[in-house]
Amino acid sequence: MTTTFPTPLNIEVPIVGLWRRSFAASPLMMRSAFAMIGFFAMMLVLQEIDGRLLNGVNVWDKPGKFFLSLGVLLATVSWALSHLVPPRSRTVRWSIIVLVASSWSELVYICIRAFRGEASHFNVGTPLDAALYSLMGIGSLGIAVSTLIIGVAIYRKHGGSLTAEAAGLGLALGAGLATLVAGYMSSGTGHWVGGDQTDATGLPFFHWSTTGGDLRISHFVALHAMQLVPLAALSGKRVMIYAMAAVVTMATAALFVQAMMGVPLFKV
Amino acid sequence: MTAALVFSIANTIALIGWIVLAFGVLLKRPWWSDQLAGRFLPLGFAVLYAILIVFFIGSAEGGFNTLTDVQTLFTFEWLALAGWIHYLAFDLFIGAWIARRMREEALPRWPLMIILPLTFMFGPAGLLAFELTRLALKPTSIAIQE
Repeated sequence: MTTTFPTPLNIEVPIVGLWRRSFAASPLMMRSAFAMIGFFAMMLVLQEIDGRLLNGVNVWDKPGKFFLSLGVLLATVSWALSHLVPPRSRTVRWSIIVLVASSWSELVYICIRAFRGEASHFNVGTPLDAALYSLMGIGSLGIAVSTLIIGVAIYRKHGGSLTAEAAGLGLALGAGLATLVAGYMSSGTGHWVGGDQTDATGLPFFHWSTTGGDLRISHFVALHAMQLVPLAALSGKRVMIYAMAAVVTMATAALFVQAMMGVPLFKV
Repeated sequence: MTAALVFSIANTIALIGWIVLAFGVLLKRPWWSDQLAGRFLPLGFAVLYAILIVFFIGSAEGGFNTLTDVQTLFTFEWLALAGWIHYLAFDLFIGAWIARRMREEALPRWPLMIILPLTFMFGPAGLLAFELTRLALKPTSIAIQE
């Protein structure tokens, strides 16, 4: 007598396919992304051990947010690259290297500053601090420009694929808009406009100000064009990806203006 | 932004949603009533609701276990607003669902003139009116299906 076992689970799970194609597109970026998510988890643990505060929140809070954010960025760029028809140009190959190297440099710098209990952004206390902060600016520009270049390359070679078109457009738009907001923030003295100059009274996790304007909100929305525009491609209609791009652009602008007026997103 | 401002914006959008639903039924445009009023607008409210819950559920007093806890929870304006958006989202969703069922079960449209305003004002009472309408007009349609 033979025993029949149920056939092994052979269901196409979309998330597995997503992971496979992203990993195949750039093992370097996906490994980096996973390491960063791992570091994000470690930062959460570290906050339980090291209770020092900066701006009213734990010193390891900010490195955690940057690990999570850059991990999501690298995973998104990897996924987007899986829609770029090979061969890859030298510009794209170099952009990947610049993106990964700049990301890790930023994170190392932010972690060293956090370890010393010091601010990383806007820290211009001594000439050395100022020099390091401007180096950091170059690093963040490296992240933005390489993402923009990869986005434009995918967009220009989408070959009729709606997903590729949306992936490229999302990367380019997200990098472009976020750079505009970040450029404005870095030319001033910080992301707060009026209100309490502390993260302590901000919204949970994000720490966006509940008492005054906060430019980080428009920066956040701008960056997530990278995921929102491809999401709109699921509708199967080209007009939807451009509508989403327009919505994200307008939301970024509206949130920027709101923050500039010193108005909190959610006033408590 | 204040909770009061978000409240007025959400109310206006909900009202527009109900007008879209009514026009969809009147002019027989299923895309308006099923997709726009029945799906995308409730989804918009769902996103707003989720954002408010993520930001404010941890910072409020009270809870869900006793009536007093719930009353305490709703003394915090942002969560009272979230609760209101919950009503707006689900009432509109159910309104559109009722309109769709009436159409797909080939029931007449005129009872919707009472059912939809009831759902708009008193959510569950509209749902009750819908089931009673089915019972009265087409008793076979209320049979429980697998």
